[in-house]
Amino acid sequence: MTFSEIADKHRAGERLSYEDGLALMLEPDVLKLGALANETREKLNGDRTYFNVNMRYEATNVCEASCSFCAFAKLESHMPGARTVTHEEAWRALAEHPDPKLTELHMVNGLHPGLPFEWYEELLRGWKRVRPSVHLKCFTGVEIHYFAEKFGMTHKEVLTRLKAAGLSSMPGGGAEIFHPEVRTRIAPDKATGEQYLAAHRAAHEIGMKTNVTMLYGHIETFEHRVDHLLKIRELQDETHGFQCFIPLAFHNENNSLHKLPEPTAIDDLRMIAVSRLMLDNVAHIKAYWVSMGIDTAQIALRFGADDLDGTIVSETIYHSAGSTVPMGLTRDQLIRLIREAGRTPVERDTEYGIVEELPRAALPEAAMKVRERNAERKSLRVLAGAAS
Amino acid sequence: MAMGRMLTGAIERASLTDVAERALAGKGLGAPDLARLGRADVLVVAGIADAVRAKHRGHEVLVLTPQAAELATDIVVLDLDGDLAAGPTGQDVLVQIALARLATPCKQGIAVSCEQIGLELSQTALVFGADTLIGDFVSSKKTLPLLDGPQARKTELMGLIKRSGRTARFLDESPAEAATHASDWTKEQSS
Repeated sequence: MTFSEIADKHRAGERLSYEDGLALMLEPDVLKLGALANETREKLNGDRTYFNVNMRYEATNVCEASCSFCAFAKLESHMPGARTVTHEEAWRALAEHPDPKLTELHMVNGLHPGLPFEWYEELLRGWKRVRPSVHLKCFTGVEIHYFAEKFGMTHKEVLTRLKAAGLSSMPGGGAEIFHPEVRTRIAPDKATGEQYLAAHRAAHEIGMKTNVTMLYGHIETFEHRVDHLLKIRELQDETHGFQCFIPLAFHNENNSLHKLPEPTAIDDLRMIAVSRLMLDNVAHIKAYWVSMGIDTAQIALRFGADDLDGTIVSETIYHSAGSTVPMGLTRDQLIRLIREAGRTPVERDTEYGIVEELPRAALPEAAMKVRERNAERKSLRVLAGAAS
Repeated sequence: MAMGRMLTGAIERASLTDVAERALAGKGLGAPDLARLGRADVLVVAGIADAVRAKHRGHEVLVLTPQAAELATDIVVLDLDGDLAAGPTGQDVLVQIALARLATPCKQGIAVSCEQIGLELSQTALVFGADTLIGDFVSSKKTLPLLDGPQARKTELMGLIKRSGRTARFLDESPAEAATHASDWTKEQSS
């Protein structure tokens, strides 16, 4: 099928196939791909662009798994850099978080072999005691599966207990690439793709919303990426529990895949666009600024993405793997990025409830000011006409 | 180069068909046309700039050192310094690149400094009208965070350019020679 035929099919509301997905991945004109994805984004979400005021937390980086892409985990608790916080440290971090608008705590951890299940329950309970209004989005599908195996429970039993302790939703991390050809090579000793999806299915069945991700740009092929997207779409048809899909770009520092090149900005934009087109039943596509960089994430808002994630404050997983973006962005910085992309900033809570919809600054006014300033420079006088 | 159906449709819906036709002539647009484009959808502006670039400058991307770029004639080197606090955001940098392509007669190339705007934005600039990248790619660790060694970096940069749908041409000679060849190249591209 040609791109035009796929575009017509998509616009007619027909579901795109595996072959269509591959053709989109191979489409040489990334602007065309972006424009089609942008149509869909605007149909689903208008020009609204979501962000939230959140914080990241990692309670332990001690991990039984030895994923080849990971620069965060330490295999043993005595290794240099290995760290497990105390409950008091964790509770204090939330209690003392300076932003009164904080709505979400996002936590992912290593698979620590020595911590009892009750330790995690108490961690959540304590957070609820110190700041009850903050939504706790914690534990990946991989962690949930690990708890189930280690403590002899079903996914649903694990999640029900954690929910009773204060858990409200799950982040999407740990999905990597579902296909066993890749997963067995990059993440051989943690939950399989099926087990990850089973944990999410269980969460959806008890009324818990989750996000879902894909780590791309390492050893996988376009076929593996499309297969991954279709598996997400399939579960979403069944449960409608995924809120958001987040493509995560592979970073190559301090891990055993350091000889691989990282995905480029064009790869990132292509991935966002294809995700938007293939995942017709997932409401939101996130351009995670820590993963793809601030500039590319902003541009991705024209390639199908409608969410920039949040303020974050202190991210360590991507920064361990060489990310050079700031550790956090302020609320005002996020708003500016969205406005200057010609979009309407919407501060959301974790479940996409609107906290505040901010006025849209029309693209010409916002961008023109910057253009005017730059047009004063000698080398940009050529642009003076565009700023008038 | 003909513009695709999708871009043509978007240009028509934005009432920019006349502007796009003038842009494709390659002589550089005047202030009134640029003002209209400045208010148009980002991807429409990018699409026109990319079509103009493809028609008049071809698919090769010239890679120059900063020293060679200073001596080169026939390229417009954009000053696109930006920081999150006060400078242009990524999207505005790209729009400026596209508008610069459309404002500048096509006998001149549009160059961006990878050290100034970063490698990611520089690569994206190649689909927004840029045709020349400036950077000390071979010896500077700063621009390429990936592989070590000059040849590995060069190979990697070629891959990065290829992934934007283009081919790279490196001018590795002395700055003066590279500048001369850059001028020859731009003449060749716009002829």
